[in-house]
This record gives sequence, C-alpha cells and structure tokens, in this order.
Amino acid sequence: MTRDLIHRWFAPVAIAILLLVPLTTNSYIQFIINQVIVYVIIAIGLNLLLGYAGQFAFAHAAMMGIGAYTAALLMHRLGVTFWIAVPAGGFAAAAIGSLGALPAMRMKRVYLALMTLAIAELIQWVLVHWKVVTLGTDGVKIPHEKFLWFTLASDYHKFYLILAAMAVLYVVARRLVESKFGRSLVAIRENEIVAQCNGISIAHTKAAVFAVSAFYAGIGGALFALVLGHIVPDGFGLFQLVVHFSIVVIGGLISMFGSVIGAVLLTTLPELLRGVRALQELIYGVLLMVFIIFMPGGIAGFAKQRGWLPDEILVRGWRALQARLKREGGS
Amino acid sequence: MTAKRSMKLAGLAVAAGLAWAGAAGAADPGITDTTIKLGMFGPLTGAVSIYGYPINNGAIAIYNETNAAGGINGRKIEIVHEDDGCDPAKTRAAVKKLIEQDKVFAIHGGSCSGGVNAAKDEFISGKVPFMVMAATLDAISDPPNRYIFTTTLPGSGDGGIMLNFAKTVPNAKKIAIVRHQDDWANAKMKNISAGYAAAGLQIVADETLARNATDATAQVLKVKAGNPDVVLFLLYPGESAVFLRDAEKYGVKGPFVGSNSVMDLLDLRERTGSKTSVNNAYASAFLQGYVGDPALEKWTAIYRKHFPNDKVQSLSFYGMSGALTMVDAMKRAGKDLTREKLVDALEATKDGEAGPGYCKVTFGKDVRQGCLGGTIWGVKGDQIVNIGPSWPKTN
Repeated sequence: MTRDLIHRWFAPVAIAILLLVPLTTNSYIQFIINQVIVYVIIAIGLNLLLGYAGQFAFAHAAMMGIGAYTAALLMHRLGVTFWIAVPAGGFAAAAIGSLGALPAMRMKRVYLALMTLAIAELIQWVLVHWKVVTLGTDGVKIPHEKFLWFTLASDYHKFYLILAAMAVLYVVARRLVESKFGRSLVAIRENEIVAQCNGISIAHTKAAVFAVSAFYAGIGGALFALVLGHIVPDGFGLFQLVVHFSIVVIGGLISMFGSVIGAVLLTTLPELLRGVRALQELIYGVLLMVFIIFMPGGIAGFAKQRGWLPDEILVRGWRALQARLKREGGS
Repeated sequence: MTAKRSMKLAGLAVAAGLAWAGAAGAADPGITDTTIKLGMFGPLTGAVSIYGYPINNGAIAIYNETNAAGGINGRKIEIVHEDDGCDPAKTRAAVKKLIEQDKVFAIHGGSCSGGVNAAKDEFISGKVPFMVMAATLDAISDPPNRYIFTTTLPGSGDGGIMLNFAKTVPNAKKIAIVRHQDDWANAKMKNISAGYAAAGLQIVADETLARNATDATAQVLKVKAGNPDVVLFLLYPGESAVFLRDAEKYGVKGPFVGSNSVMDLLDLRERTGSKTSVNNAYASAFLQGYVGDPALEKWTAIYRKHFPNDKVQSLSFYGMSGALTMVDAMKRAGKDLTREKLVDALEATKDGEAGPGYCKVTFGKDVRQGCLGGTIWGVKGDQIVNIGPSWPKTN
C-alpha cells in the first residue's frame, strides 16, 4: 500500500519540487540543473533506440549536434523565434536520423555501430567545413531573445522551458514504450525473425525508432544550445557520445527512470568533484567501473532488483487494471 | 500548488534575490580589507591539460610574488582555481561558479578559445573584469567590450607576423599552408587569407592536418607537388613535429614558418627526433626570449621560486603579462578598489610592463587587445635566435 502510494505520488511530488528549484539556486547551480534536464531528454531518446530496440547506433551525439545547429542557426542567422527553432531542431534531427535506419535494415551490432559512427563523423565534418552555413569552428552564438517576461539570458527562465519540454517528452516516451510500438521494439530487440512472424514491420518500426530517438536528441541539442549560449562543432563529437552512452548504461538500459538517474549522476558528478581536481578523473573512472561491474543493469536495474523501483511493464494501464482486479477480488 | 503559482513564486524569489544582490552591491564581491579574491580557470584535466597548469602557474607565480612584496595597497591576492577541461559547457560552468558561488572580484583565465567565447556573456552581464590568460580567438576581445581585456597576441596578429615574414623571403611567389581546421588555426588564417594576394603570393597548397595526427605524408606530398617557396604551418607542437619529420623524409626543403605554438623550436626539434628538422624552420614569437635566454632570467627565477618542481617551458611565461597588467591596474585603482575602478585603470594602461612579453601593454577606450607585436625566431646550432620581423639580409 505504502509502496503503491509512493509510486503514484512520486512524479507529481518530484515535479512540484522541481518547480521550486529556482528559489534555492544561484545561476551556477541552475546552469548545472538545466544541463541535467537536457541530458535526461537526450538519454531517453538513446534509451529508446539502444535499450528498448537494441539498436547499437553511434550517431546520437551527431543528432544532438544537428538539433543544436538547426535551432542555433535559425535563431542566429534568420532571427527565428526559439518557439519555432527548438522544435525545428528536433524535426531536422528526426529527418536525418530516420536515414540512419537505412543501414540498420541490413546491418546489426558492430557493423551498424561502425556505419552510424561514420555518419556521425560525416555530420561533424560538415559542421566544421561547411563554414558559409555553419560558421565552422567559430561556433554559433544564441541571441538573447525575449518573449513577454521570458528571456533566454536567464538560467531561471530557461529552466521552466526545459523542464516543461522534459516533462512532455518523458510522458510521450512512457506512452510510446507502453504501446504496441514499444512492445514491437522489444520484440525486434529479442528476435527479429520472431517479431516479423508476429506481423511486426521491421523496416517501419526501425525507421520510426531511429526518427523518434533522433527527435529527442535534436530537441535535447536545441535546448543544450539555449543553455550554453554558444555552440561549437567539437561539442558534438566522440566525447559527447561517450557521455550519452555512460548516462544510459549507468542509469539503466530499458528504463525511463534510469535515464533520469544517469543524467543526474553523470552531469553533477564532475561538478561535485571539482574540489578534488587532482583525483577527479581517477574517482570518476573508478566509480564508472564499480557501477558497470557490480550493477550491470545500471542503477535502475539494481533498484528494481531491490524493489525500490517498480518493474516497467510495457502495457499501458496495467497497474490500474491489476489494482482494480485486486479490489474487485477483495470485495 | 499550481504550476502557475509556483512560477510566480519563483519569479518573486528571483526578483527578491536580485534586489538583495543590488543592495549588497555597495561593496563589490571578492574584496575585504586584507584580501582580493581572483578567479582563474583553464584546462587542468583532460586531453589538453598540458596547456593548463604551466600557463596558469606562470600567472600565479606573479600574484604570489606580488603578495610576497606586500600585496596590493595592503591586500593579498587569493586565487580560486577552476578546471574548464577546454570544453565550452564546463568553461561556462566554471565561470558561473567563480562569479556566483566563489564571489570573486575579477577573473584571469582561459587558454581555450571556444570555452572563453562561450563564457564571454558571463563577464559582460556580471560586469566582472576579465583578463584573458592565453586564448587567442579575436572574437573574444574584438569587438571590444568594457570588461574584457587581453595581453595575449590574438590569432590574427600571429598570422600577420607569419605572413609579413613569408613575403620577405627572397623571390617568394608561391606559398603552401598546412593547418588544423579549428578556431585556433582559423583565427591565425584571418590575416593570411586577407593579405597573401596583396603581398604578391599565390597559394599552391592549402592542406588540413587533423589534431593528434601521427602521419602527414599525404599533406607533405601535396605540398611538395606545389613546389612552394615558403611553407606556413599552423599546427600544435605535436602535429608540427609530425609534419616537419615527414617533410624532411620526403625532401621538402622549406623555409617553414610556424605559429607561436612552436616558438620553442628546440623543443620542436626534439619532438621530431631529427637534429636537422628545424634548420630551415622559423616561428612567430610573442616573448622577449626563449627558455634559458638571459632576457627571461628574472621571470624564470620567479617561476622557479614559486613552482620549484615544475619544468620551465615557453608556456610558463604566457600568463605572466596578463598578471603583471592586472597587478599594476589594481594598484593604480587605489585603496577603494571596485570592479569599475579596476576596469578604468586597465583601460588607462599605457606602455605597461609585459614581463617576458615582446611588447609593452597599451589599452584604450575601445582598445582591448593590449599587445599586438611579435617577432620571428629561428635556430642556429643549438640556440634559438631572434631573427626579427623580416627575412635577414645575411641569410
């Protein structure tokens, strides 16, 4: 009963607390929190592709870059409002991300990884060398747009925008994985032939999950650009990809909440370790190893094992149905 | 509580916080009767941390020396040192931490252009005086902003020195360029691209070399095919060594003109593993002398005094001119030191001491790049020598 209450009220209470966060932070802490939320969005997208669909794709950082650059260039060069530029970043990434599904139709595992890595490198090469459009290595500055009381110069204002985007995208992702689409992803991950025999279109489902994942990366990238205020191509390379994978693997594959945990941990840890600079990289590395060795299912997997987190059941309304049956059985 | 009400409350809290900050702003942050808290940041971890400690320690040595000599108008300088990992996001976080959490008075830092450029708004919006440590991107200080100063030779200035030297090479008509494709090299290319045609030069090869490259055969062969009279290389030290090593291997004779990243030509020679690799190589320099040069004896001694376990290298001197300029301006700003008075004092700097730097430091109302001069170094035997800005007549 208590556990049910906790599970039911966790999200609303967490959102209420989050809304009050700016009351307690300075601009530095708010900046870090904003980054955490952006990484939650990006990690959810990668978790859909890597965790739920089991597609070993390496272009997520590049998709983030496409979202960031689309939004930034629309705002910087054309004066487009961020209300349009941010979704445009998501859709641009989704369009290019769905192309990533083409090699995925014929390739798996390491071959798919290599192919998507090549796509990512190509995208970064374009960001660096197509200077007339992307401004090359000089990077793109995000204008401080104002909309009524809202200004992009304020970390506090940006927080509410990013938080709202994260909340919507989190709910959408949960709905997706609890739908037929989510179950199709898991079926494809487990066995493509069996999935096909069950009437699942492998091509359509893969194309859709690549596009959805890239959309999340694109929106995350666009919001990342707003948070940072200035983006350069280097920011969307291999190191960024390693961060994404670390967040998802350490937080927990096949777990939406794992993406949240991973993003919080891996974004705040380097900041918390600022005080022990000489040991920072060592502590960071050791912690990563400990998590991977002793918690192969990630922190979320570990928490589920202990019963601290509920199992994720990919059927919408399952818990409500169970509760109703329990009540009816009891009465 | 509804989301709307929460947002209103948050807005009120922020407004109240700002009002409080305004009220408390009578005395600038980071100043007490006995101390001045200065923020510093740079790449102290990660792949480019080799540029972090040596450069920042040079500046710290100057601040420590100032403290040892009695401080600034009775106040001692305290340094708060942060890592930026040469990453724009981490740089912005580091700067925000210094301003918002550590409440520093002013900031001296930044060796990575991309990071400093990403954090630039923080200095401007916070009205925090900022002295660039060693980042060279022109866009950091041009167009000028009231709060941002640099005594480091900007990238375009470095490229200009290289081009001016190249055009004086006897009978030079064709040049080849080998460079990185990044903001650092692009800044240096600005004056080269703008001026080579007017100097009567033709570019016969323009090759890029990736960062951390271990082979430059393809680039060297393309340069060789162009048969240039001068080769400009805008590369970091490691990649410069790779390029010169392969150039020697395939018989490309030069002359080679490098940027100030390789002004320690003897170190470059050591990296190539060949005694003859830099015989016809030159480098732009913004220091008065090389490591071990008597002209830098005073500054070498100061560095060794405060960091006895460090190896003294060219990088050790990069941050000193900015530190000397900050110290001088803070002294001139007087006992009632404020951020605005420091900015005014910095702006009034004329022919200021640049320590190991090649030129004197001069700022003005719309002048924030305080040192635009430089020279060219070469190697004779086992000695680095100052060649001067143009090709020597006796060569």
